[in-house]
Amino acid sequence: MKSVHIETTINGKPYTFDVPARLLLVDLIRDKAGLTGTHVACDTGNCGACTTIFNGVSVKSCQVLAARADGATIGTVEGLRTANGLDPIQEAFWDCDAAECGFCTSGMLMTAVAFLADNPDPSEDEIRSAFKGNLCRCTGYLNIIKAVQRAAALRRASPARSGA
Amino acid sequence: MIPSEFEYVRPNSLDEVLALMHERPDDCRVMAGGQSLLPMLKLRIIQPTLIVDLSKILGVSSIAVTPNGIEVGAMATERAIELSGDVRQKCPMLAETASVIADPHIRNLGTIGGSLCFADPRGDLPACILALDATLTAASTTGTRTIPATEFFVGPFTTALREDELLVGISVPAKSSRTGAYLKLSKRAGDFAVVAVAADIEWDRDRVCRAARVALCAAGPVPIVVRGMTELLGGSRLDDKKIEEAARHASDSTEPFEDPLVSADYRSAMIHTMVTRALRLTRERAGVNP
Repeated sequence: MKSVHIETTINGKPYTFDVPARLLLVDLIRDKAGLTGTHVACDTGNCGACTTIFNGVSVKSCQVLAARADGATIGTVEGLRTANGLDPIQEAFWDCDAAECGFCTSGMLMTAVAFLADNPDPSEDEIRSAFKGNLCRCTGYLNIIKAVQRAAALRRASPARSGA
Repeated sequence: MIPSEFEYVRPNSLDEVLALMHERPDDCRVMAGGQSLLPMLKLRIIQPTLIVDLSKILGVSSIAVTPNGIEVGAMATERAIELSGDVRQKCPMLAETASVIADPHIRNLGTIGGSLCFADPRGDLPACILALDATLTAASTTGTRTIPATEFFVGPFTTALREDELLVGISVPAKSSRTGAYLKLSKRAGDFAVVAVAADIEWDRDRVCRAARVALCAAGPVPIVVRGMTELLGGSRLDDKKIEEAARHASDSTEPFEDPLVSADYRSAMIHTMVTRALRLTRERAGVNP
């Protein structure tokens, strides 16, 4: 077994692993760190259910080797919840009925986190472009777009509340 | 899907990478962003025994403007290129091309060097750098050499690089007055192109075309530069008649492939359409009134 040593930070907490070199980041997060909020659907880089924040940018964690987590800072959906409850992005998804079956939702939320950090006041077109890599088979996307617009407004109104 | 087992190293210096490529050319694969390589590993299309991760070789990810043009490090991500103020100002077509690749998550990791070395005939950046008349720099333990973009793509998924050579940079030459357009036709946003066109026009002081380069993506086994565009369009203001001649020439001089979704005839027709649109857009962007 060709193994690699990984020291990484997930949601602000340090982790150490020795894992096979061929392990994927999403499997490290789910199976080794036990954070199963990050989902696996297609496992081919198409659907975006496994979207996580990797060194400040959104990535599809099924398309990254776990070995690359060494020295990295990773954010998953579990890191969103704050002491005061839901992150404004989660609250907006709740308010706008932006989840139906919910399988894509953690990836949608993490995409929103990365996107709104760069673009606090996006247009609808910009939101549609930013979510091009995230598939939802239930909602038809309209409520997700509304939720991202609402999240942007909530975050602008009280930036301190954001857990991300 | 899990890749077959491999040894993994993540060197801190370019010299270490080049030494490994020199020592183990047969079984080593270098990983830049990994957005094409990892899917191939997962499908076990390739099963290398050593993966050399380039993600710590940050020295080759810079984007710099020089008097001679723009120097883009091979490890510059597609997202960095898309958002770079320098690229947008000096070479907007390169940013435009980067912005239509896959989706933002993929572009956050995918690199220009990786995309060029993968040499997918349907890749976006190869056609773009051909139209931009770029030059590529390859490094090995024995030194560096430059390769014109026109000589880099030798077959589907095959480049002019030797097994022990690593692409380290892309130089886009400065042209005094150029406009370009990258137009992509795809079934869905972010898909690979049905066809895409990169058009780069140099204008003289009187807004007359001095040189024209048109490159096509997904029009053949390799990204293609359509020959004779300067002869066809030079000296004109790209009036509609000239553009029609150029589009017909582009369509007539290529033999596109078919795939399960798109027939070769449809591709030919779309080459005509997309070349027309791309040339009209370059004309419009130059503020030229034919």
